[in-house]
Amino acid sequence: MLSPESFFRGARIWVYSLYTIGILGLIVGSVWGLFFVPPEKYQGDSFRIMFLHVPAAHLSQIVYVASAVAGVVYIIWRTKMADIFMASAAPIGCITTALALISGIVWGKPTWGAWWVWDARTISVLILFFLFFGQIALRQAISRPERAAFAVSVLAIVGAINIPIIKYSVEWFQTLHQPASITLTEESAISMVFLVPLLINIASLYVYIAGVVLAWMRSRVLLLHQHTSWAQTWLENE
Amino acid sequence: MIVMEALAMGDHGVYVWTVYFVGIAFLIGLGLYPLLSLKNLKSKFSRDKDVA
Repeated sequence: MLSPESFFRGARIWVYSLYTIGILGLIVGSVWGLFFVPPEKYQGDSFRIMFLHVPAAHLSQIVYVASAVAGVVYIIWRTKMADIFMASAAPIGCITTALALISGIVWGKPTWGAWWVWDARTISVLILFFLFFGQIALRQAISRPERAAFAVSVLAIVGAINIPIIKYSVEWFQTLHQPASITLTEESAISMVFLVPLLINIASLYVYIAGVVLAWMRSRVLLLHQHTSWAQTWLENE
Repeated sequence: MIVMEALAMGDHGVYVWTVYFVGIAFLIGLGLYPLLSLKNLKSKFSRDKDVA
């Protein structure tokens, strides 16, 4: 099993590599989507919000699923790194979900004529935001770290029921949101002109957030182990 | 003129640029926070060492 020390030392190169690749990819995808793609037939230029909204929404769900998996790992094996992952992923998921919600709100105004609609997709994503926020609050509220980790794990696992609800909300309920345009099994409903920069941004945000998660985990590992000999040596020599 | 038109994006520039401004701020903040935390921990360690 990966020790905190070997994780801390080994993850450093990954953090900077993933940051660099992710940022470069996001610049390429965003500039492409903002300036080199023609306006959409019905939405005009407001559809360019998609190049940030869709990756943020995708990623929020993936971060939550990863948190739930880490919760299962913690409950079964009591792995410390799984708890560190959950503690790091919660604020990151909170921010990416907030970004998905804010970009959706702003996109809604020119497209639907309303900043917010109470439909199944928006409500389920709002619940996702509260689930991430709940994980942070729960951890802060319980003083014993082991009990806090257990409670957060249970919340992460129980809250995972919301992920299929988000995914299928556009099929199960009447909603203003369109059904999924990109699926693994069927041909994309989006033209290649729009799809390429969108996929670049989705992949790049995944890479960047992977780096961010590792960076938050490194920071948390050092904070928790700052009084150990390896951490003292690192702090002294860096 | 071409730049102004590109920034205006019809009437949708204010929506698009607001989202990108907020998005960039959020993502930069997410990436910088752990790096600054490590830096602060190092500074605190150095201060404590000097005091000791």
